Amino acid sequence: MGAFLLRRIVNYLVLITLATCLGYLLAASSLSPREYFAQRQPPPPVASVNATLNQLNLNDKTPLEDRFAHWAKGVVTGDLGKTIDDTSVSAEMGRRMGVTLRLVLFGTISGALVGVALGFISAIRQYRPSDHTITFLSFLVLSTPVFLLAVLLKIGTVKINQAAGTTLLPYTGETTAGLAGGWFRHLVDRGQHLVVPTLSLMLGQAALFSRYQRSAMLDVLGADYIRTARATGMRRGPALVKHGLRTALIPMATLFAYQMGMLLTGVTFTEKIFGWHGMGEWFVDSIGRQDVNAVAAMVLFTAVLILIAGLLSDIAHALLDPRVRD
Amino acid sequence: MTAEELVLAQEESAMTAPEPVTLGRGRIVLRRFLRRKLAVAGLVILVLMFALAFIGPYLSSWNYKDQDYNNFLTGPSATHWFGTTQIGSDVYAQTMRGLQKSLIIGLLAAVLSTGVAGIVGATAGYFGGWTDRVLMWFVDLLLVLPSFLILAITSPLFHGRTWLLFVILLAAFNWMVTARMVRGLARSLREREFVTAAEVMGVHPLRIITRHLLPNMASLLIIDATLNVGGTIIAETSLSYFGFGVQPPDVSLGTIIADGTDSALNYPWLFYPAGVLLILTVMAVAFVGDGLRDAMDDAAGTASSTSTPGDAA
Amino acid sequence: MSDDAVLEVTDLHVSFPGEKGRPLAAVRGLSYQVRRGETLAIVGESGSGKSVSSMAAIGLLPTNAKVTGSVRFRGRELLGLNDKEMSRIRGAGIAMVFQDPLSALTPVYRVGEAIAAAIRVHREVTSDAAMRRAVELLELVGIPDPARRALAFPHEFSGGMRQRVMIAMAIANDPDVIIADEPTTALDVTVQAQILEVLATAKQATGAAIVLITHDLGVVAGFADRAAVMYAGRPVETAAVEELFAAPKMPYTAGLLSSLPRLDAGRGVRLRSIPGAPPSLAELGAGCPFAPRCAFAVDLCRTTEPELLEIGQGRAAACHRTGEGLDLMAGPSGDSGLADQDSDTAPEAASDAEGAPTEPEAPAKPEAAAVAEPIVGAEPVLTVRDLIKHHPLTKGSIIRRRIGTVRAVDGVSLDIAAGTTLALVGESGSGKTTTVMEILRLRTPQGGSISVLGQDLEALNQGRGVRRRAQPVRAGIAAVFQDPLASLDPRLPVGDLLAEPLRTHGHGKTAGRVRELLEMVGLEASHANRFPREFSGGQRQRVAIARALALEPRLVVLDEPVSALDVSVRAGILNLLADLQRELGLAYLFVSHDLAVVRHVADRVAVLNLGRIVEYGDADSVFEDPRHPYTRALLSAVPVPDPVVERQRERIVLPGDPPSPVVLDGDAEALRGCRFRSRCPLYAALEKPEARELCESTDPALTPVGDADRSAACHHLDAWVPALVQSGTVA
Ligand code: SF4
Ligand code: SF4
Repeated sequence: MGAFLLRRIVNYLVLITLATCLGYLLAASSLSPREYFAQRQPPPPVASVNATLNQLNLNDKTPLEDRFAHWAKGVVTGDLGKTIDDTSVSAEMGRRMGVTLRLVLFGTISGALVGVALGFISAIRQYRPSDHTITFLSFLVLSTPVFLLAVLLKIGTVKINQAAGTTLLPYTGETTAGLAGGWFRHLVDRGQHLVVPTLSLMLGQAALFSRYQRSAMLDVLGADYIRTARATGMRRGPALVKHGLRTALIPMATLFAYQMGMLLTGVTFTEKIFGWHGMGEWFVDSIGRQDVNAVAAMVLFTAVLILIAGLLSDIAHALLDPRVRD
Repeated sequence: MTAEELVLAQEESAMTAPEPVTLGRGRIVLRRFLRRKLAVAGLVILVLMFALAFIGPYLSSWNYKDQDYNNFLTGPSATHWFGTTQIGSDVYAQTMRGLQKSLIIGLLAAVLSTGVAGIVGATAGYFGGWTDRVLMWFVDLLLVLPSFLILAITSPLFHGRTWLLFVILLAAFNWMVTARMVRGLARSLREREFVTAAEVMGVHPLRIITRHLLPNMASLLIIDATLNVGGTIIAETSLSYFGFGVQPPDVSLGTIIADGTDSALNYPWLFYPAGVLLILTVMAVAFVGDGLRDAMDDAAGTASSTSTPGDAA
Repeated sequence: MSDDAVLEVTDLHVSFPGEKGRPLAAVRGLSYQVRRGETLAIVGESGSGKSVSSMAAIGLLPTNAKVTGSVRFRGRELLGLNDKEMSRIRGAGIAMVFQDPLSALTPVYRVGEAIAAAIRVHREVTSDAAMRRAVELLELVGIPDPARRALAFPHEFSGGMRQRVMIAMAIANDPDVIIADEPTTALDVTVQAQILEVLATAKQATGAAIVLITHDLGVVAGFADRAAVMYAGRPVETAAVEELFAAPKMPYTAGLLSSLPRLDAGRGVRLRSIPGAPPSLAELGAGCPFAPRCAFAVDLCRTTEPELLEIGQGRAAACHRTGEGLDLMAGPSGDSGLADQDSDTAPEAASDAEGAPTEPEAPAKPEAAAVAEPIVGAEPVLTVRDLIKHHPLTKGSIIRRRIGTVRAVDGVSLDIAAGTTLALVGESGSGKTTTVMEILRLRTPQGGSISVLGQDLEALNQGRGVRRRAQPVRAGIAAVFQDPLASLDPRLPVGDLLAEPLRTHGHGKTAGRVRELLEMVGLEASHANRFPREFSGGQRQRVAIARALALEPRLVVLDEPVSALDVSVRAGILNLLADLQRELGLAYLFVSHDLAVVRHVADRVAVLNLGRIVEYGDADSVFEDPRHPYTRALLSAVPVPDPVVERQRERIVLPGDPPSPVVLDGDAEALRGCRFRSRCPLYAALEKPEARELCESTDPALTPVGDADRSAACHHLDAWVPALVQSGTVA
């Protein structure tokens, strides 16, 4: 067993390596750091630009292979290079990772739970008003791109706050700057800040999970084993939960891995729109700044997260389904 | 077993009732589709959207590039139906143009990506072995990199070039999940007896793929292409929102929304028309896709849609 | 009526909302009662309403079903009870055993847990106590090592073992009635025999009444006390089993009985077949639903549906002509057409048929001519020598690893002479399908040799242009698979399906040949434009046969060609195959698990067990005097549709499951000695240690027995005496 798990992890490592290299190469060949400096006012002399670029390993006059080799050597030793403003990529990443992970974690967990519950209700009340409502709402959410959803939420929050006459729900940043008070006050503050951005991710997750849970549950509703359970005298409710929902959860494990990429895309918009200084915001800004190394770092971060999600979903699958366990 | 008998009984009522026997499959699908209100509503909305996108611009005298120096940031009026922007552009004209762009890009990219997915998936699934392993490993690799990331990174490459390049890239990073699904289906179809029958008859593998596999996956592919239209529209507008997609002076719904975001509270006309059209379009596509799925599944009696997404990574 | 009836169903009607608001009547007036300890069989084909009626009795139909009539359990009316009250009766009063035990058990729970849960639904016991009881029950139904197996998941059991678990679950709460819905349908014959024994044990342990729902008249003959035959949602005949089989009073029952291939009949006897196919519930009109297929139909039959009328002590039949004393088994006098009416061809023709329902497809031939004379000394169309096909067994779906080898085919040798039929018989896992696919795919065999129509496959696959050179061989060999719905591409019209082999082999014009082929199998040329799903099962199989004949092959491989079909249309297909063989001089490789069918068609038989042939030879001689213990056991496990014979004959119930051909890595012991040993009744009965030692140490080779045309693989062929065999337990 161990050996096979190892093989899987090795495969993942290879995928991560290749993906990151691909990300770096794409970034290095499509972004032009030189332009970033050239556009400064007043334009710096070419020689000094070249010197800076060389120092940052960003000079487009250096052959791509050499830059790549230099970068790769650094990465192997744990050094992700310098940002275009000559700070450490690793340090910046360390600061920002937690912010993104917090959003992703809360967004996924709450979204999956709500989605599974809604999908279950929707399926057992198929074609009733509650099913129609849930279906319609989830289609509505799924049809709204995250950036639009986030903006709409923001507008909604402003309206609520205006109506309440106070900042009931803050919607920019992670904390209120210069907040006085004890740790509890701070915790509440952070919690309040988390609500709206998490909601912007959670809604999409919940909608997606509810659709899949609904159809998985519908597949299972007609299953023979539910009939068997009922034939032993089990009432409809318990049979649906113990035998139906339990089995219909299995495909959700796969969905978990699959939606991670989507979620990480969504997080970019959420961070950008709600002013969270996470990886996503950094990524978008870095492209604007032609910051090759920072972009490569985001690719690495994403790849690792997606494969962790893949591994977790495999494990969840094995836990849920004895048929794939051994 | 009841389920079987029930299905049998119900199916028979559908299949062998005297009248429908003569109906072709297309008509059966159509009839079932038309019975779903939401799907029909979606289709109507979609048709209206296309009409709006392609006829709409001619209804107003303003062009999306025009600027009206007498009207900056004015609300909807008889001259400017959806109002004007900070620089005096007509929001109606811009929205129509944006809708047109988003629709075309979405449609083309979706069809392209489904096509690629069909070919790659069917090949991998049918031949299996090394072909399968190599292709699927490549798909895994692409799945590790969310398409948004790659497209954002490569966006400087298509600045200033034709938007068709953007379409191709959009499609190039969108086909993987479908390809996995198609592969799964192709693998199960390959085990079906009619494929075995064709093989032992000596039918050429390529002919088996084109004549037996792909037609039997047609409903999946059609549904997928439909739903992909929604997906690619979302992808396009998202990228454009950050300036990674459609470039000025051209507009798409995404760029319009991006421009209007900051003033959404005070100048709602800058934001809402594009936003509402975008949501309506994608939702209409989703309803049509869903309706098609139900209609085709019922009519075919074969598993054409998968209830679980392709297993990524 | 009677007080001792535990379950009494009266005038039960079930209907579902159909298309366009027209309700679909699935059950139309079913009445029966069962007493404690009695077994009632409800017999019918698919769509007859037999399963729906039992689901209606326990209130588990979908909510859109409309159920009327009365279902009384120990005098208490069940229809109209709410879910809470019904739930108290389900499982505790009336228990169910379902057909497919893999899908009927929740895959994520251990079987012990599942049984314990069933107990705890009705009883306030601790989970420990429930689990202990579950283990006892598993032991009762014959699961070896029950304490350990209780912790296993359903997918870790074989089909037969899962069915035992289902029975254990059904008797967990001492029910008064057990409804068993096709409990043995998906199982091998030897396992079917075991499960029927377990059911009998269960009946003894609980004293329950059993309602057995089945399509298999053989099972009915051996197991049931009374039977109700259903057709198109109605009971058409009810009787004690002996009377039913001895003298059916309704043409449908009689037709079914005389269309069954029987083990105790000789080879090549032409079966009587019932034309047409069971009606779909949507298109039932007035009149007797069987009228379009009935050879005795008179005008009255087409206008008025006959009532089920009492015609004797515990006997009833629904037929206008019951009272006329017709000899149903012999066919109506003067109507010579019946014997040869095979065609189930006219889907809608029935309504306007005035005289005989359909034209005989071929001129009636004297019975004797139906026996194809084997062409002695004819060149072989297929020669297989020591064929081997092994493949690695992997485990785990997330993480794959190799744990052993599946020795699917492990040294099979066969010959088929032109114009003759060789039957390949075996249970699941015996390697019969693998053998067939190895032949059909025309690849170089992994081990041994195959020569098709004189062409050695190894030579064929050498050099270049294999694909092109193989085409003439492919044209000479064709295949018909089990399920025509699966083997015909649903997206192509029949014309294209038939044209496909022609085009593949470069024939330009196909229309004429397609028409010819359709007519050859008793279909109409106009059918070419239809899609497979528009046909009935029997017609679809005819299409598949027509496709196989397209290139005028000399050898046709028939892989379970009638197993997926309704009982009443099987005979038609078998007769068609016999006619085609005679007219076209075809050789058949007929693969089947159904020995009665094989008895009917085969010239020679090869009995396969674990990838090896254990007995081989002339069909008459093998069936009449089986020598290998496995062949004997197989034959004795096949139920004979005759209660008198069935309840008296010698019966060998093989223990255990059909063994799997898997040899785990590093398990050298598995390859030592005779592989049938673990189930061999003869080995178990051998007294001399030397004799047993021989079985344990040496793998028996196929050796000639008696006359030169027979061989068998057993060391103790002559040691067989009936006394060695434990006499069969019969319910
Ligand atoms: S009622 Fe008429 S058609 Fe029906 S079974 Fe009797 S004879 Fe045949
Ligand atoms: S060789 Fe022994 S074990 Fe094998 S079949 Fe004969 S008696 Fe049975």
